[in-house]
Amino acid sequence: MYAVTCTKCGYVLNETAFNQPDWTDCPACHVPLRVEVFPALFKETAPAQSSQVLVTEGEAGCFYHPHKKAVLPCDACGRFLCALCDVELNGRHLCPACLETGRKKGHLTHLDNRRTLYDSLALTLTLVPLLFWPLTLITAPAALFIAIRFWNAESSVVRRTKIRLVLAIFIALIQIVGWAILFWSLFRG
Amino acid sequence: MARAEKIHRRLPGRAASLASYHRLWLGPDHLLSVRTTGYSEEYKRFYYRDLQAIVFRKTDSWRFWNLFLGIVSALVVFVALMSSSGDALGGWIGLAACLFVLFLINLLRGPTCACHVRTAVQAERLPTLKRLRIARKVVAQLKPLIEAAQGPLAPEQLRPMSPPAPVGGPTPAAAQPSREANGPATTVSTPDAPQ
Repeated sequence: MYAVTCTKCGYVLNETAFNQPDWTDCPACHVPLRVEVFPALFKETAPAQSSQVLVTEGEAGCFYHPHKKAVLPCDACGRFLCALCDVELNGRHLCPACLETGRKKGHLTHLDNRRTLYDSLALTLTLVPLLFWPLTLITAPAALFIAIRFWNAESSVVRRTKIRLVLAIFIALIQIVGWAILFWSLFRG
Repeated sequence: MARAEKIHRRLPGRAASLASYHRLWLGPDHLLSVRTTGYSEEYKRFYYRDLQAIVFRKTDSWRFWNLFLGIVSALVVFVALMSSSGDALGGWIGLAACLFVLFLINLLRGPTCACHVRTAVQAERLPTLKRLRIARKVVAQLKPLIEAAQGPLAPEQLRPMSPPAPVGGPTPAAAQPSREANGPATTVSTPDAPQ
């Protein structure tokens, strides 16, 4: 069963509105709509898989559910899994433990839904305080620490360069050297 | 250190607000919507194999802003012409020029729309696709990838199954034509449907 609705009023649109070359008015609110549908809309939902109980003594059992029949091994750790424990992700079959480990360690980028941008943070810490330069006494070492501490941390999924970190380190070092020269000249008399 | 492989391609269109910034990226098997908020990024992935529909709706923002900026520009020009002071005249003309530039930008960027993608479990708005021209470009790039993942749409799937739902009561449950109720003749089959 499928339902494509008008995004303004929620009216359920029928097939006459699908994949039309021109705009179609919503029958309820008359707003012009274009609906591009794809075969997945008409695909019947597969019933949920249930694991089978072991039939004979010689059959392999699931690592997590020893009484359930194993259907395949985990692609990461090799443990036997029943249909219930098998999680398919981008063509790989993983067990829940490997999935959780992969998510925590950032190996499964497809599961990442949030990332902290330490490179942007470090660069902002070097640039914004220039508006009130005495602040750089604190922010320059902080930016340098962040840039070095998180040099290997996963950054944006879509942005792959380290240019922000390099710039942050460079500008922070200039600021620190500037402060060092200032203090040195003050104490020297 | 090995350089990470670049797998996403930036799509045209952007949306910005005070708190966040949106962009859309094309991945090998998914569409990636990125929302940047300060020093973090949030991702939403729409896998091509899961995309059921893309719905565009024309919005009135383009007309509204054209009208608004046009009227305000005209009013400022009128005030400038009525102004007797030379200094004030320059200021009014500068303001009118700024407003006219904004009017032109809005006019040239073209009509606005709202774009939603639909999967089996969600209908999500894509904030970056708010101009019709950009939305068309993006869909032109998306369609071949979705078709490659799902296969082509059979023409019989687009054949009307039942008369349109009544205009008076647009409740989704009531208005939705039931495939089961239409009998075996209406059963649809897709090339990749699970057996």
